[in-house]
Amino acid sequence: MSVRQKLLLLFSLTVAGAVAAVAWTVLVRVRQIFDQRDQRETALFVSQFQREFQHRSAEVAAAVDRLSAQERVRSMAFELVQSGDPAPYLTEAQTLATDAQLDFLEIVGPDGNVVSSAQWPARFAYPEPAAAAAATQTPFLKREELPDGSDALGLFAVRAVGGAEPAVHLIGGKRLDESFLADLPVAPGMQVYLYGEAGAPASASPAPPASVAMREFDARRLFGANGAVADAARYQPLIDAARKTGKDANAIVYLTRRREDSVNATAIPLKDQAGGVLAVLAVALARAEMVEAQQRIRAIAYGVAAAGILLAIAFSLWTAARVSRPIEQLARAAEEVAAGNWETRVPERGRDEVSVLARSFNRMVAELAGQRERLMQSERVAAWRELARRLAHELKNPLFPLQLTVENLTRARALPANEFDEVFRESTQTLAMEIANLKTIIGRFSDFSKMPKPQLERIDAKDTLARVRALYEVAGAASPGAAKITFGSEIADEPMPMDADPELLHRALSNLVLNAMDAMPEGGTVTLAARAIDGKIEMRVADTGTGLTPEECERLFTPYYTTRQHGTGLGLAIVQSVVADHAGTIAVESRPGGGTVFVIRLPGAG
Amino acid sequence: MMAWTWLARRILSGTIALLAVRTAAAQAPANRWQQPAAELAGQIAGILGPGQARLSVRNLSTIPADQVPAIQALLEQDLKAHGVQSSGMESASSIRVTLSENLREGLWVAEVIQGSETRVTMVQVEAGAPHAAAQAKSGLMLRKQLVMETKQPVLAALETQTALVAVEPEEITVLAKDTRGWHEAKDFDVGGKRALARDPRGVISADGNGDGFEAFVAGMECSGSFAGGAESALATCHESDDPWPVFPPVPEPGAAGNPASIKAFYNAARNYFTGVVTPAIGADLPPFYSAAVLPRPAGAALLIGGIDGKVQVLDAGALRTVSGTRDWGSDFAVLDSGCGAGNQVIATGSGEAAGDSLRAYELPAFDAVPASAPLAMDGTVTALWSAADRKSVMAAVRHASGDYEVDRVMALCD
Amino acid sequence: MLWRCATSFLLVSAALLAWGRTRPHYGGTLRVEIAEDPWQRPGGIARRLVLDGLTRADASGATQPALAVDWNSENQNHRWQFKLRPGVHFQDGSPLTPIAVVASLNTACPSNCPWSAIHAVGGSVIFTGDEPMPNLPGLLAGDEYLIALTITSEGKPPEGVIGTGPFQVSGFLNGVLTLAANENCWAGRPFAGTIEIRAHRAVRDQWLDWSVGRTDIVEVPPEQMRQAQQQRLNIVSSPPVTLLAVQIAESGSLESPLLRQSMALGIDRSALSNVIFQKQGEVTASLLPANLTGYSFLFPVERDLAKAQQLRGGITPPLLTLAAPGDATMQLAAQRIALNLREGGFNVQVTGDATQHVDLTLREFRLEGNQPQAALESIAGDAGLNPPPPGQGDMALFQSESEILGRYTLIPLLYLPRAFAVSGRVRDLRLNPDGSPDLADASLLDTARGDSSRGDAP
Repeated sequence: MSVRQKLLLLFSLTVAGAVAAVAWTVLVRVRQIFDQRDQRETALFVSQFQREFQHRSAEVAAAVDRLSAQERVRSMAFELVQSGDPAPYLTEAQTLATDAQLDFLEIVGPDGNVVSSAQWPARFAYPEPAAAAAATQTPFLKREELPDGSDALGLFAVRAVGGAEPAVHLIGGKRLDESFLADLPVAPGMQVYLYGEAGAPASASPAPPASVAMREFDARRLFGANGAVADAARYQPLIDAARKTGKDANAIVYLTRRREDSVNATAIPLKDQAGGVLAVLAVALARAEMVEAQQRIRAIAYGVAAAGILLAIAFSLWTAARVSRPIEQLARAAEEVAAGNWETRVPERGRDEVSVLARSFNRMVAELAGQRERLMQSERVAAWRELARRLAHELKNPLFPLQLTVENLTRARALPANEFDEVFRESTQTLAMEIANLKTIIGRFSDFSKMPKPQLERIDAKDTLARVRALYEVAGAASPGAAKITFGSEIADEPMPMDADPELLHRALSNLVLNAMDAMPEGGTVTLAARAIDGKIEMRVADTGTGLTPEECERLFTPYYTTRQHGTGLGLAIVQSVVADHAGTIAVESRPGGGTVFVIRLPGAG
Repeated sequence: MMAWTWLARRILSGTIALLAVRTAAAQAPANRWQQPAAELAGQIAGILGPGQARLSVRNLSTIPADQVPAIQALLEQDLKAHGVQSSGMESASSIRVTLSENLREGLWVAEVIQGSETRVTMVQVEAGAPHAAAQAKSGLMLRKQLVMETKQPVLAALETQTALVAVEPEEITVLAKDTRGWHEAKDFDVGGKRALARDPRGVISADGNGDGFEAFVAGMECSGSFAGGAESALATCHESDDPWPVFPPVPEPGAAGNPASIKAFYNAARNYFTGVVTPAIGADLPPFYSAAVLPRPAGAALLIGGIDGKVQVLDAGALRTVSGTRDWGSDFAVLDSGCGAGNQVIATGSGEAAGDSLRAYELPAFDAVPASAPLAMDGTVTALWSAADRKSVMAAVRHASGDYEVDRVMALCD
Repeated sequence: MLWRCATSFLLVSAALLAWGRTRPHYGGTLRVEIAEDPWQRPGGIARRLVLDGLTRADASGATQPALAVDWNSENQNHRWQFKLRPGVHFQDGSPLTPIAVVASLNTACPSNCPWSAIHAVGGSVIFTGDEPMPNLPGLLAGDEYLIALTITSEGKPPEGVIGTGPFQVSGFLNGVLTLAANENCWAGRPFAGTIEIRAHRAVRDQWLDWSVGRTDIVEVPPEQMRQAQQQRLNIVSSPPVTLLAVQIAESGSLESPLLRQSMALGIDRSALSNVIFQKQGEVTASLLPANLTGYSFLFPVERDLAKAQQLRGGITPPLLTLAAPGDATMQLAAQRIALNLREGGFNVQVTGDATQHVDLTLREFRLEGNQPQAALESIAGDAGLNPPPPGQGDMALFQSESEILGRYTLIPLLYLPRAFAVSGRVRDLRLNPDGSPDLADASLLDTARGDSSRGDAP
């Protein structure tokens, strides 16, 4: 990663982090403010609703009051006390309830038994304990059993009918049902639900046990003004909390995964006179508007943050460019210098640290160029010296037999002619041979200097290796007395096409095989291997010879370096040259006593 | 014809039974309950076997409460005879006898309780005496006297010294008098192929000798004689649509056309007279239920009670409505009391009270003026006619039980 | 109690039999409204107006002659001979013959009859039975065996119902059945010229029509009699004629007689009678009313919840259903019974739908007459129970009834009267032993109003 990129990244992250931190802070704060507002609004609505609820209670009480003051009711009470015969009034409660628009109405006689019941006409003559609540005057909640086995929750008021002693009571009530909820004034977005506790198991006695274990939440018992509540189960924790604690509970209820489908719900437990929770009223205020407002603000915050980050990136780009340009120039210059362009210089502008660096770089390059020149000179001299030494060494070896032969001839001139002839013949042969040897040496040097350009054609590496193996396997077998060298082959079956000069490659591989054979004077195995890896063709020539030290490995491809007593040291240099001309690489893997492996990797075709 | 004979036989037997029951009812209660008590005690003993038992008796019937101890005593006595000793509270067995009844008869039920097991037996008891005839409250002027009781409707009756002839829808019954009152001596089937009537009516009048009669029911006319006594009375009936004498002859002599002696044609398919009378009286009469001749100083006046509810008097050849008859029913008759104006009209009431009543009226002009307090009757007056001597009126009364009685109603001067 | 009830009935009847005051007028149109069908069996109001039986029951329950004037039995009640009343004609003019009677009875009772064969001999009808038929004359007074013409003199089935009764069918239009007086009725021409019966009329509508003078006779349900009396309406009521009973299915969860007995003991009859039926009902634990038998007190009517619980033995059957007719009062009574039973440990739910399987049914049984044995057989038949073995005497009757009640499949609750409100223009209206109004003996004060046969009026 470049300095510029790093700088860019650094700047961008810094600025984006800062912007995000600010945006997050703003959003959290906004959310808090909205939540507080939401809470306040819900509390306001709940209190309004409770007032309305109390108002309804007062209406029920007033209706029962009006009924109890009616002349018809008073005379009925008088008659009931006088005659003690409730039979004539069996249907009275239904008539009165219809007149007073009450859902429930029971007339309880002086003996505390029901005289007439609007909601359950058949329940006459059964005791009604609620009549005892007449003294409280305040409306109360009560669960009322109905003839069909169900029960209903009602808001009740009890009044004693004046004038009669012992008292006749009216217990009137309104049903807390869908229509009751529908009649309640609710704010837009507000829903009111009622969860009615299940009644006690059916019994004629209407009084439920004072304390019973809390029943399992039953989603069907939650209803709203429009009937059953589709998401009733979502309210379960809230309602259960209110049922359990007997206190108001508040929570945000998520109806779906979307935040806008959530409500701020307050569960208000409705209790009977004994303090038992008879029902839970859930006031749910939709949060969609608030959530949408929040989302708008969040969207704006995200937009601003994104713009800020973009700006920051742009600024970072500019800054990074400005800061990194001299460094990049320096880097390029250094690369060029490294590539050998010693004339490279960087502009020196300003007085900052970068310009000092530029000046120092320029000076350093100038210094290095001078040192390199000097080094090249000395290396060239050393090379020439090495070449001269090698040439002298190579030429010195045949020259010595030449000199001896010539001296021998000279001395043979004094010999009889036939002997001389023989000597002469032998000497001339020797001379010719040594001259040929000289020619060979010179040819090799000449060849190295005149390495031809490869003529590329499509070949298969397998064929090339097979050809080499065939050649040297025969040669190895044909040299009697020589150490036994066997050939192994680990060539993959698949075709391994490549574009190469077959002759040059053959030469390079032959050199390596010869080297391997040379490395095993006591015999051994030469293994030829080839395979395709990652689009390249890898060829290996391995021997089981004595191996090389790491130092030897490092110097192995230096021209004229050889570990043998005889040899020009050009073989592996030629191999490396051929491989390089084919855009390939060569490597050696070896250790002392562990054999040597030459690995050639050439680009595959196709 | 055989059917009518059979019917007559049944009615006769019913009447005899009634009389027998009435006779039995007069006997001492103990005698009356002996048989059922013995029967029940026998059944109880059959269940319980000899031993001790606690006996209790309760009364759910109309047997008067004062007779219950006697019944209990009878039961105890009979049980003892069967070896069942009535004992005190310590006995393990108990017998609970309930004196009950149903529409047809009395029913005495014994529950024999031995431990947790209760067995039941019961005996039928003949129905108790019909309600005792209530003493009618006498008004200021009117008094009534029971003449006879019967199960059949009495349409009219003729009472003489020796015989009482009752006209019933399907027979003529002749009763003879003995020390206990009238008892049935003979009856004659009216016969005929006519249909029965739902509001049957009839009249009877004595013949000139006083020992014969002439009776009419719808479509039939009967004549008979009891000159030889009630037991040897004779009567024959034949189909007839002749006019009926609607009231007994008024002693006041009258020529033809005088209302005192007219007869009227009866609509046999209905319950009223057609309005056609003979001899003609020179005026068209509307259909009427009742007619009576009211002797007045100016001459006898014919009084008719029309089926339209109007009471009219034929005065000088013209019908004039009598006012003050709003309280009159459909039946009225005239009696010669000798009090006040001499003759009064006794009319049934039209009020809505539970029982029927009779009241005397005088007609000084064309207004009916009450001349007595109403006399309450023991049922519904189904027929009302003047007695032959015109000194009293006779009323047939249907009791609530469906039985009938014939009363004589007389007016006494205050 | 029962005697008081019967006496009050008779007093009311007597008050109306007031033709001593004003003789019954002939003619006029009597207008009647009823909630039921005029031809329904038993108790259809038109049946006894158009048709007569061979016998009839009088107010005391005794069997009286009607179309038959005499009867006798032979061979230990295996054979009965009924001699027909001579000179009786059907309303179409054809004579009443024994053959016509046999044809009618065979049509009325094609199978499972009290007799095994009937045939005409001379002027009599002979009934023969495989079993003794001690109650045959009483049975023949029932609504079921009224005699109707089955084949006209032309050999065709008659159009409409033709009988020998006091009225004949003259039309049926817009739900109003019109009957005209039978001038040649053997028992006498009825007083009213025409009777118009508007059937299937709700009681509320009947009262409405009555209050505006559109009708003369309307029904008064027992629970409204008290109110009607307070309003000083002219009410004619019968002795107890309708038995209200709960029928319990013998199968299913109530297979155990102990459970059924427990239910029987758990019902509070007095509350039903005193409150729901406004003291107009007579509580009963017997199938026949006390005035017919005299032994009803042997069947205790008191509720015994403790014993009911004990009999139930802790077994709680699953939810039971109690069906009741759609009438609001019956529904209320059913609700009350359900409430009582709930206290006794039975969870009972009232349903108005009697088409599905129900465990309990609140039913009404109509007494056809006041002959106890015939009435018991009729109730047992209606309830689908095996009829009790025929017997004679109160003890046999008691044993038959005890046997039926001992199964605890039929729990008698109340006996209810039938009552009618009668307008001021109607006189002499009495009720038949089955509680239906005897319109043949009723007459009208103003025969001109709404009269289609003014020929009767002068």
